[in-house]
Amino acid sequence: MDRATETKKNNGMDLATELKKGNKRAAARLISMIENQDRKAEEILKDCWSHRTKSRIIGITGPPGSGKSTLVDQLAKHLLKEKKKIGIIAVDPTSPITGGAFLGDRVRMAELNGEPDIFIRSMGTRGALGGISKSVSGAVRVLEVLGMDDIFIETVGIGQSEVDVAGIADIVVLVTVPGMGDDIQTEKAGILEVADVIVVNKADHDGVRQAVQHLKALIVQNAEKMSVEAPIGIVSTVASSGFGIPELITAMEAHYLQKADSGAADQIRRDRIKQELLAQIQLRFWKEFEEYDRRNSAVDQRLGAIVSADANPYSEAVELLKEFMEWRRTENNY
Amino acid sequence: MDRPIRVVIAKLGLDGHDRGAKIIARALRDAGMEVIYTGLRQTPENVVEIAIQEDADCIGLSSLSGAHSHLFPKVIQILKERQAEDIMVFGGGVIPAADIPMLTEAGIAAVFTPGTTTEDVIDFLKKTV
Ligand SMILES: Nc1nc2c(ncn2[C@@H]2O[C@H](COP(=O)(O)OP(=O)(O)O)[C@@H](O)[C@H]2O)c(=O)[nH]1
Ligand SMILES: [Mg+2]
Repeated sequence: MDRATETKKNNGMDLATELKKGNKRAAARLISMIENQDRKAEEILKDCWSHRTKSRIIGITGPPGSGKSTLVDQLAKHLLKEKKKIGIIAVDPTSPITGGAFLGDRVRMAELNGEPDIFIRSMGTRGALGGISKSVSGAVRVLEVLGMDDIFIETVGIGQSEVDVAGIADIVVLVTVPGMGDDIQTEKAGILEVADVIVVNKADHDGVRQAVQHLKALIVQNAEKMSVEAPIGIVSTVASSGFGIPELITAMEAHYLQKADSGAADQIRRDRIKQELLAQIQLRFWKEFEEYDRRNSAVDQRLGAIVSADANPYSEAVELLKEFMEWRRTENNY
Repeated sequence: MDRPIRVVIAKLGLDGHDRGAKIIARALRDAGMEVIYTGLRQTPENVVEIAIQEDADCIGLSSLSGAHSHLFPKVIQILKERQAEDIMVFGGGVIPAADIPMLTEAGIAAVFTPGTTTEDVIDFLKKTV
Protein backbone atom coordinates (compact mmCIF):
# COMPACT_ATOMS: atom_id res chain seq x y z
CA MET A 1 0.00 0.00 0.00
CA ASP A 2 1.10 3.52 -0.69
CA ARG A 3 2.12 5.15 2.52
CA ALA A 4 2.44 8.48 0.74
CA THR A 5 -1.33 8.81 0.61
CA GLU A 6 -1.32 10.35 4.01
CA THR A 7 -4.58 12.19 3.69
CA LYS A 8 -6.57 9.10 4.60
CA LYS A 9 -5.47 9.54 8.16
CA ASN A 10 -6.67 13.10 8.46
CA ASN A 11 -10.25 11.82 8.78
CA GLY A 12 -11.39 14.91 6.96
CA MET A 13 -9.90 17.09 9.68
CA ASP A 14 -8.97 20.62 8.83
CA LEU A 15 -5.60 20.41 10.51
CA ALA A 16 -5.04 24.14 10.99
CA THR A 17 -8.45 24.70 12.58
CA GLU A 18 -8.19 21.60 14.74
CA LEU A 19 -4.67 22.44 15.86
CA LYS A 20 -5.70 25.91 16.97
CA LYS A 21 -8.47 24.27 18.99
CA GLY A 22 -5.88 22.12 20.76
CA ASN A 23 -6.59 18.83 18.99
CA LYS A 24 -3.69 16.48 19.74
CA ARG A 25 -4.39 14.22 16.81
CA ALA A 26 -4.08 17.17 14.45
CA ALA A 27 -0.79 18.08 16.11
CA ALA A 28 0.46 14.52 15.74
CA ARG A 29 -0.47 14.41 12.04
CA LEU A 30 1.17 17.72 11.32
CA ILE A 31 4.39 16.68 13.04
CA SER A 32 4.48 13.57 10.82
CA MET A 33 3.96 15.69 7.74
CA ILE A 34 6.89 17.87 8.80
CA GLU A 35 9.06 14.80 9.44
CA ASN A 36 8.12 13.42 6.04
CA GLN A 37 8.84 16.75 4.38
CA ASP A 38 5.33 16.98 3.09
CA ARG A 39 4.88 20.31 1.36
CA LYS A 40 1.34 20.71 2.70
CA ALA A 41 2.71 21.09 6.22
CA GLU A 42 4.02 24.47 5.25
CA GLU A 43 0.58 25.74 4.24
CA ILE A 44 -0.82 24.72 7.60
CA LEU A 45 2.03 26.28 9.56
CA LYS A 46 1.53 29.48 7.58
CA ASP A 47 -2.05 29.53 8.69
CA CYS A 48 -1.10 28.95 12.34
CA TRP A 49 1.95 31.18 12.68
CA SER A 50 0.14 33.96 14.53
CA HIS A 51 -1.59 31.52 16.88
CA ARG A 52 1.52 30.36 18.67
CA THR A 53 1.82 30.53 22.47
CA LYS A 54 4.98 32.04 23.83
CA SER A 55 6.19 28.69 25.09
CA ARG A 56 9.38 28.18 27.07
CA ILE A 57 11.58 25.83 25.12
CA ILE A 58 13.91 23.72 27.22
CA GLY A 59 16.61 21.52 25.74
CA ILE A 60 17.67 18.51 27.82
CA THR A 61 20.84 16.96 26.52
CA GLY A 62 23.44 14.50 27.72
CA PRO A 63 24.81 11.04 27.06
CA PRO A 64 22.61 7.91 26.83
CA GLY A 65 21.63 6.55 30.20
CA SER A 66 22.40 9.72 32.14
CA GLY A 67 18.74 10.00 33.16
CA LYS A 68 17.34 12.60 30.75
CA SER A 69 13.97 10.90 30.23
CA THR A 70 13.57 10.23 33.95
CA LEU A 71 14.34 13.89 34.65
CA VAL A 72 11.87 15.13 32.04
CA ASP A 73 9.24 12.86 33.60
CA GLN A 74 9.87 14.38 37.05
CA LEU A 75 10.02 17.94 35.76
CA ALA A 76 6.76 17.45 33.91
CA LYS A 77 5.04 16.07 37.01
CA HIS A 78 6.10 19.10 39.03
CA LEU A 79 5.09 21.56 36.35
CA LEU A 80 1.71 19.85 35.95
CA LYS A 81 1.01 20.74 39.58
CA GLU A 82 1.58 24.36 38.59
CA LYS A 83 -1.16 23.89 35.98
CA LYS A 84 1.27 24.08 33.09
CA LYS A 85 0.64 22.45 29.73
CA ILE A 86 3.65 20.49 28.67
CA GLY A 87 4.98 19.25 25.37
CA ILE A 88 7.81 16.75 25.19
CA ILE A 89 9.82 15.91 22.09
CA ALA A 90 12.10 12.94 22.70
CA VAL A 91 14.69 12.39 20.01
CA ASP A 92 16.62 9.14 19.59
CA PRO A 93 19.14 8.18 16.94
CA THR A 94 18.03 6.53 13.71
CA SER A 95 20.26 3.70 12.52
CA PRO A 96 22.08 4.99 9.45
CA ILE A 97 22.13 1.45 8.07
CA THR A 98 18.54 0.28 8.43
CA GLY A 99 16.76 3.61 8.85
CA GLY A 100 14.97 2.16 11.86
CA ALA A 101 14.93 3.54 15.40
CA PHE A 102 14.12 2.29 18.88
CA LEU A 103 12.25 5.13 20.54
CA GLY A 104 12.12 4.11 24.19
CA ASP A 105 11.96 7.34 26.16
CA ARG A 106 8.28 6.87 26.97
CA VAL A 107 9.15 3.93 29.23
CA ARG A 108 10.43 6.45 31.80
CA MET A 109 7.44 8.71 31.31
CA ALA A 110 4.72 6.12 31.76
CA GLU A 111 2.96 8.04 34.53
CA LEU A 112 2.43 10.96 32.18
CA ASN A 113 0.36 8.82 29.81
CA GLY A 114 -3.25 9.84 29.84
CA GLU A 115 -2.58 13.27 31.39
CA PRO A 116 -4.73 15.70 29.39
CA ASP A 117 -2.18 18.52 29.62
CA ILE A 118 0.73 16.48 28.31
CA PHE A 119 1.73 15.76 24.73
CA ILE A 120 4.69 13.48 24.06
CA ARG A 121 6.22 12.78 20.69
CA SER A 122 9.15 10.45 19.96
CA MET A 123 11.28 11.22 16.94
CA GLY A 124 14.12 9.45 15.16
CA THR A 125 16.94 11.61 13.83
CA ARG A 126 16.37 10.07 10.37
CA GLY A 127 19.90 11.02 9.37
CA ALA A 128 18.78 14.54 8.57
CA LEU A 129 21.52 16.77 7.24
CA GLY A 130 22.56 19.22 9.95
CA GLY A 131 21.14 16.95 12.60
CA ILE A 132 17.69 17.00 14.02
CA SER A 133 17.11 20.71 13.79
CA LYS A 134 14.60 21.05 11.02
CA SER A 135 12.00 18.49 12.03
CA VAL A 136 12.34 19.31 15.71
CA SER A 137 11.94 23.04 15.25
CA GLY A 138 8.90 22.30 13.10
CA ALA A 139 7.48 20.11 15.86
CA VAL A 140 8.14 22.89 18.38
CA ARG A 141 6.12 25.31 16.23
CA VAL A 142 3.25 22.80 16.23
CA LEU A 143 3.36 22.47 20.02
CA GLU A 144 3.40 26.25 20.36
CA VAL A 145 0.18 26.39 18.38
CA LEU A 146 -1.20 23.58 20.51
CA GLY A 147 -0.79 25.96 23.46
CA MET A 148 1.97 24.34 25.46
CA ASP A 149 3.53 26.47 28.24
CA ASP A 150 6.73 24.48 28.38
CA ILE A 151 8.26 22.38 25.62
CA PHE A 152 11.03 19.94 26.49
CA ILE A 153 13.35 18.59 23.83
CA GLU A 154 15.35 15.53 24.88
CA THR A 155 18.36 14.79 22.67
CA VAL A 156 21.37 12.54 23.05
CA GLY A 157 24.50 14.59 23.34
CA ILE A 158 26.61 13.14 20.58
CA GLY A 159 28.53 15.13 18.03
CA GLN A 160 26.73 18.26 17.05
CA SER A 161 23.29 17.43 18.33
CA GLU A 162 23.61 19.39 21.57
CA VAL A 163 24.65 22.45 19.65
CA ASP A 164 21.61 21.94 17.46
CA VAL A 165 19.36 21.98 20.49
CA ALA A 166 20.97 25.23 21.63
CA GLY A 167 19.76 26.83 18.42
CA ILE A 168 16.20 25.71 19.12
CA ALA A 169 15.84 26.03 22.90
CA ASP A 170 15.56 29.05 25.21
CA ILE A 171 17.48 27.24 27.89
CA VAL A 172 19.73 24.21 27.68
CA VAL A 173 20.16 21.72 30.51
CA LEU A 174 23.14 19.37 30.28
CA VAL A 175 22.67 16.12 32.17
CA THR A 176 25.80 14.42 33.50
CA VAL A 177 26.49 11.71 36.03
CA PRO A 178 29.31 11.44 38.59
CA GLY A 179 32.56 10.49 36.91
CA MET A 180 31.82 12.26 33.65
CA GLY A 181 33.87 15.40 34.23
CA ASP A 182 36.67 14.42 31.86
CA ASP A 183 34.22 13.73 29.08
CA ILE A 184 32.87 17.23 29.37
CA GLN A 185 36.35 18.67 29.39
CA THR A 186 37.19 16.96 26.13
CA GLU A 187 33.80 17.72 24.64
CA LYS A 188 34.53 19.23 21.25
CA ALA A 189 31.21 20.89 20.74
CA GLY A 190 31.77 23.51 23.41
CA ILE A 191 28.83 22.46 25.51
CA LEU A 192 29.90 24.79 28.32
CA GLU A 193 29.26 27.69 26.00
CA VAL A 194 25.65 26.65 25.42
CA ALA A 195 24.60 25.03 28.71
CA ASP A 196 22.59 27.19 31.14
CA VAL A 197 22.26 24.56 33.84
CA ILE A 198 24.36 21.43 34.37
CA VAL A 199 22.72 18.60 36.27
CA VAL A 200 24.77 16.02 38.11
CA ASN A 201 22.17 13.25 38.10
CA LYS A 202 22.42 9.93 39.93
CA ALA A 203 23.52 11.81 43.01
CA ASP A 204 22.80 8.59 44.90
CA HIS A 205 26.02 7.26 43.36
CA ASP A 206 29.54 7.93 44.66
CA GLY A 207 31.51 10.91 43.51
CA VAL A 208 28.84 13.62 43.37
CA ARG A 209 30.81 16.08 45.44
CA GLN A 210 33.90 15.63 43.26
CA ALA A 211 31.81 15.94 40.11
CA VAL A 212 30.32 19.24 41.29
CA GLN A 213 33.75 20.57 42.30
CA HIS A 214 35.18 19.54 38.98
CA LEU A 215 32.40 21.27 37.08
CA LYS A 216 32.79 24.43 39.13
CA ALA A 217 36.51 24.47 38.35
CA LEU A 218 35.80 23.94 34.65
CA ILE A 219 33.34 26.79 34.65
CA VAL A 220 35.84 29.13 36.29
CA GLN A 221 38.47 28.12 33.73
CA ASN A 222 36.10 28.87 30.91
CA ALA A 223 34.60 31.94 32.56
CA GLU A 224 35.84 34.38 29.94
CA LYS A 225 33.83 32.57 27.28
CA MET A 226 30.60 32.75 29.19
CA SER A 227 28.16 35.43 30.13
CA VAL A 228 28.95 37.08 33.46
CA GLU A 229 25.34 37.86 34.31
CA ALA A 230 24.16 34.28 34.06
CA PRO A 231 26.80 31.86 35.27
CA ILE A 232 26.00 28.22 34.61
CA GLY A 233 23.94 26.70 37.39
CA ILE A 234 24.91 23.34 38.85
CA VAL A 235 22.25 21.14 40.45
CA SER A 236 22.57 17.58 41.79
CA THR A 237 19.55 15.35 41.38
CA VAL A 238 18.33 11.82 41.82
CA ALA A 239 15.85 11.69 38.95
CA SER A 240 14.57 8.26 39.94
CA SER A 241 13.40 9.55 43.35
CA GLY A 242 12.68 13.18 42.55
CA PHE A 243 15.45 14.56 44.76
CA GLY A 244 16.65 17.97 43.56
CA ILE A 245 13.85 18.52 41.07
CA PRO A 246 12.45 21.68 42.73
CA GLU A 247 16.00 23.09 42.80
CA LEU A 248 16.43 22.26 39.13
CA ILE A 249 13.17 24.01 38.26
CA THR A 250 14.29 27.05 40.27
CA ALA A 251 17.64 27.12 38.46
CA MET A 252 15.94 26.80 35.06
CA GLU A 253 13.49 29.55 35.90
CA ALA A 254 16.23 31.85 37.17
CA HIS A 255 18.07 31.43 33.89
CA TYR A 256 14.98 31.91 31.85
CA LEU A 257 13.99 35.06 33.74
CA GLN A 258 17.50 36.41 33.61
CA LYS A 259 17.53 35.91 29.86
CA ALA A 260 14.09 37.45 29.53
CA ASP A 261 15.03 40.50 31.61
CA SER A 262 18.27 41.14 29.83
CA GLY A 263 16.57 40.86 26.47
CA ALA A 264 18.68 37.79 25.71
CA ALA A 265 15.57 35.62 25.39
CA ASP A 266 14.07 37.94 22.79
CA GLN A 267 17.37 38.00 20.98
CA ILE A 268 17.49 34.18 20.96
CA ARG A 269 13.93 34.12 19.62
CA ARG A 270 14.80 36.64 16.90
CA ASP A 271 17.92 34.68 15.95
CA ARG A 272 15.91 31.49 15.80
CA ILE A 273 13.25 32.97 13.58
CA LYS A 274 15.97 34.49 11.41
CA GLN A 275 17.55 31.06 11.05
CA GLU A 276 14.20 29.65 10.02
CA LEU A 277 13.69 32.39 7.49
CA LEU A 278 17.15 31.86 6.04
CA ALA A 279 16.62 28.10 5.94
CA GLN A 280 13.37 28.65 4.01
CA ILE A 281 15.14 30.89 1.51
CA GLN A 282 17.93 28.38 1.07
CA LEU A 283 15.46 25.56 0.58
CA ARG A 284 13.35 27.43 -1.98
CA PHE A 285 16.34 28.72 -3.85
CA TRP A 286 17.84 25.27 -4.01
CA LYS A 287 14.57 23.68 -5.17
CA GLU A 288 14.29 26.22 -7.97
CA PHE A 289 17.85 25.61 -9.00
CA GLU A 290 17.24 21.87 -9.06
CA GLU A 291 14.23 22.44 -11.25
CA TYR A 292 16.32 24.57 -13.60
CA ASP A 293 19.01 21.94 -13.72
CA ARG A 294 16.50 19.17 -14.25
CA ARG A 295 15.08 20.91 -17.29
CA ASN A 296 18.35 22.11 -18.77
CA SER A 297 20.99 19.64 -17.55
CA ALA A 298 23.01 22.75 -16.87
CA VAL A 299 25.38 21.13 -14.39
CA ASP A 300 26.15 18.05 -16.49
CA GLN A 301 26.87 20.18 -19.53
CA ARG A 302 29.66 21.96 -17.75
CA LEU A 303 31.01 18.97 -15.93
CA GLY A 304 33.15 17.55 -18.74
CA ALA A 305 35.20 20.69 -19.13
CA ILE A 306 35.78 20.92 -15.41
CA VAL A 307 36.86 17.29 -15.19
CA SER A 308 39.33 17.71 -18.06
CA ALA A 309 40.56 20.92 -16.40
CA ASP A 310 39.60 23.08 -19.37
CA ALA A 311 37.41 24.95 -16.95
CA ASN A 312 37.34 25.33 -13.17
CA PRO A 313 34.40 24.83 -10.80
CA TYR A 314 34.72 28.32 -9.34
CA SER A 315 34.16 30.27 -12.54
CA GLU A 316 31.63 27.73 -13.79
CA ALA A 317 29.56 28.13 -10.64
CA VAL A 318 29.40 31.87 -11.19
CA GLU A 319 28.38 31.36 -14.83
CA LEU A 320 25.78 28.76 -13.87
CA LEU A 321 24.23 31.09 -11.35
CA LYS A 322 24.08 33.89 -13.91
CA GLU A 323 22.32 31.61 -16.38
CA PHE A 324 19.99 30.37 -13.68
CA MET A 325 19.00 33.87 -12.65
CA GLU A 326 18.37 34.77 -16.28
CA TRP A 327 16.22 31.65 -16.77
CA ARG A 328 14.37 32.44 -13.60
CA ARG A 329 13.62 35.99 -14.78
CA THR A 330 12.59 35.17 -18.33
CA GLU A 331 11.08 31.71 -18.32
CA ASN A 332 9.28 31.70 -15.01
CA ASN A 333 6.75 33.57 -13.04
CA TYR A 334 8.67 33.29 -9.82
CA MET B 1 8.14 9.36 -0.76
CA ASP B 2 9.36 6.61 1.46
CA ARG B 3 9.08 6.98 5.18
CA PRO B 4 9.52 4.50 8.00
CA ILE B 5 6.55 2.60 9.36
CA ARG B 6 5.80 3.85 12.87
CA VAL B 7 4.71 1.15 15.26
CA VAL B 8 3.80 1.33 18.95
CA ILE B 9 4.74 -1.79 20.92
CA ALA B 10 2.79 -2.11 24.14
CA LYS B 11 2.56 -4.67 26.87
CA LEU B 12 -0.91 -5.06 28.32
CA GLY B 13 -1.79 -6.77 31.56
CA LEU B 14 -0.12 -7.10 34.89
CA ASP B 15 2.62 -9.63 34.33
CA GLY B 16 6.14 -8.28 34.57
CA HIS B 17 7.90 -9.77 31.55
CA ASP B 18 8.61 -7.79 28.45
CA ARG B 19 11.37 -9.85 26.89
CA GLY B 20 9.21 -11.00 24.00
CA ALA B 21 7.95 -7.49 23.37
CA LYS B 22 11.52 -6.16 23.37
CA ILE B 23 12.70 -8.85 20.95
CA ILE B 24 9.99 -7.95 18.48
CA ALA B 25 10.67 -4.23 18.99
CA ARG B 26 14.35 -4.69 18.14
CA ALA B 27 13.57 -6.86 15.13
CA LEU B 28 11.19 -4.25 13.74
CA ARG B 29 13.76 -1.53 14.31
CA ASP B 30 16.33 -3.60 12.44
CA ALA B 31 13.82 -3.94 9.62
CA GLY B 32 13.85 -0.15 9.26
CA MET B 33 10.82 0.80 11.33
CA GLU B 34 10.43 3.46 14.00
CA VAL B 35 9.42 1.55 17.09
CA ILE B 36 7.84 3.45 19.95
CA TYR B 37 8.37 1.22 22.94
CA THR B 38 6.09 1.91 25.88
CA GLY B 39 7.12 -0.53 28.59
CA LEU B 40 5.14 -2.70 30.94
CA ARG B 41 1.59 -2.63 32.26
CA GLN B 42 -0.15 -0.32 29.84
CA THR B 43 -3.89 0.23 29.88
CA PRO B 44 -5.86 0.10 26.61
CA GLU B 45 -6.75 3.80 27.07
CA ASN B 46 -3.12 4.81 27.35
CA VAL B 47 -2.03 2.67 24.43
CA VAL B 48 -4.54 4.39 22.17
CA GLU B 49 -3.56 7.83 23.41
CA ILE B 50 0.11 7.03 22.78
CA ALA B 51 -0.60 5.76 19.28
CA ILE B 52 -2.48 8.97 18.51
CA GLN B 53 0.22 11.28 19.85
CA GLU B 54 2.88 9.30 18.03
CA ASP B 55 0.79 9.20 14.85
CA ALA B 56 1.51 5.50 14.62
CA ASP B 57 0.54 3.35 11.64
CA CYS B 58 -0.02 0.35 13.86
CA ILE B 59 0.01 -1.01 17.37
CA GLY B 60 1.58 -4.28 18.42
CA LEU B 61 0.07 -5.67 21.61
CA SER B 62 1.76 -8.26 23.72
CA SER B 63 0.20 -10.32 26.46
CA LEU B 64 1.41 -13.31 28.41
CA SER B 65 -1.09 -13.53 31.20
CA GLY B 66 -4.33 -14.30 29.44
CA ALA B 67 -5.32 -10.66 29.49
CA HIS B 68 -5.58 -10.64 25.70
CA SER B 69 -9.15 -11.89 25.43
CA HIS B 70 -10.45 -8.87 27.28
CA LEU B 71 -7.82 -6.18 26.68
CA PHE B 72 -7.06 -6.59 22.96
CA PRO B 73 -10.69 -6.01 21.91
CA LYS B 74 -10.83 -3.11 24.36
CA VAL B 75 -8.04 -1.36 22.41
CA ILE B 76 -10.03 -1.77 19.18
CA GLN B 77 -13.12 -0.40 20.85
CA ILE B 78 -11.34 2.69 22.16
CA LEU B 79 -9.70 3.30 18.78
CA LYS B 80 -13.19 3.34 17.29
CA GLU B 81 -14.45 5.71 19.96
CA ARG B 82 -11.56 8.03 19.20
CA GLN B 83 -12.19 7.71 15.45
CA ALA B 84 -8.71 6.30 15.08
CA GLU B 85 -9.61 2.89 13.70
CA ASP B 86 -7.27 3.48 10.76
CA ILE B 87 -4.49 2.50 13.18
CA MET B 88 -4.01 -1.22 12.61
CA VAL B 89 -3.65 -3.54 15.61
CA PHE B 90 -1.81 -6.84 15.78
CA GLY B 91 -1.08 -9.03 18.74
CA GLY B 92 1.33 -11.59 20.04
CA GLY B 93 2.30 -13.59 23.09
CA VAL B 94 0.98 -16.66 24.74
CA ILE B 95 -2.40 -16.87 23.07
CA PRO B 96 -4.31 -20.17 22.73
CA ALA B 97 -5.29 -21.03 19.16
CA ALA B 98 -8.89 -21.26 20.29
CA ASP B 99 -8.91 -17.55 21.14
CA ILE B 100 -7.66 -16.36 17.76
CA PRO B 101 -10.99 -16.36 15.88
CA MET B 102 -12.54 -14.22 18.60
CA LEU B 103 -9.67 -11.72 18.40
CA THR B 104 -9.83 -11.59 14.60
CA GLU B 105 -13.55 -11.07 14.84
CA ALA B 106 -12.94 -8.15 17.22
CA GLY B 107 -10.70 -6.49 14.63
CA ILE B 108 -7.17 -7.61 15.53
CA ALA B 109 -5.49 -7.80 12.11
CA ALA B 110 -3.13 -10.64 12.97
CA VAL B 111 -2.16 -12.74 15.96
CA PHE B 112 1.37 -14.08 16.27
CA THR B 113 1.78 -17.04 18.59
CA PRO B 114 5.14 -18.28 19.94
CA GLY B 115 5.66 -20.45 16.83
CA THR B 116 5.96 -17.48 14.47
CA THR B 117 9.25 -15.79 13.65
CA THR B 118 10.04 -12.10 13.74
CA GLU B 119 10.33 -12.29 9.92
CA ASP B 120 6.67 -13.27 9.74
CA VAL B 121 5.74 -10.14 11.66
CA ILE B 122 7.99 -7.93 9.53
CA ASP B 123 6.58 -9.36 6.30
CA PHE B 124 3.06 -8.88 7.54
CA LEU B 125 3.64 -5.24 8.48
CA LYS B 126 5.42 -4.39 5.26
CA LYS B 127 2.53 -5.84 3.30
CA THR B 128 -0.29 -4.42 5.37
CA VAL B 129 0.72 -0.94 6.46
N1 LIG C 1 20.50 5.29 40.56
C1 LIG C 1 19.90 6.17 39.75
N2 LIG C 1 19.40 5.74 38.57
C2 LIG C 1 18.81 6.64 37.77
C3 LIG C 1 18.69 8.00 38.11
N3 LIG C 1 18.07 8.65 37.10
C4 LIG C 1 17.82 7.73 36.16
N4 LIG C 1 18.24 6.51 36.55
C5 LIG C 1 18.15 5.25 35.81
O1 LIG C 1 19.07 5.33 34.73
C6 LIG C 1 18.57 4.60 33.62
C7 LIG C 1 18.55 5.50 32.38
O2 LIG C 1 17.63 6.54 32.57
P1 LIG C 1 16.95 7.31 31.36
O3 LIG C 1 16.10 8.37 31.94
O4 LIG C 1 16.34 6.36 30.43
O5 LIG C 1 18.25 7.96 30.69
P2 LIG C 1 18.41 8.70 29.26
O6 LIG C 1 18.95 7.71 28.30
O7 LIG C 1 19.40 9.80 29.53
O8 LIG C 1 17.07 9.23 28.88
C8 LIG C 1 17.20 4.11 34.02
O9 LIG C 1 17.31 2.79 34.44
C9 LIG C 1 16.81 5.02 35.17
O10 LIG C 1 15.91 4.42 36.06
C10 LIG C 1 19.24 8.42 39.38
O11 LIG C 1 19.20 9.60 39.75
N5 LIG C 1 19.82 7.47 40.13
MG1 LIG D 1 15.96 8.97 27.12
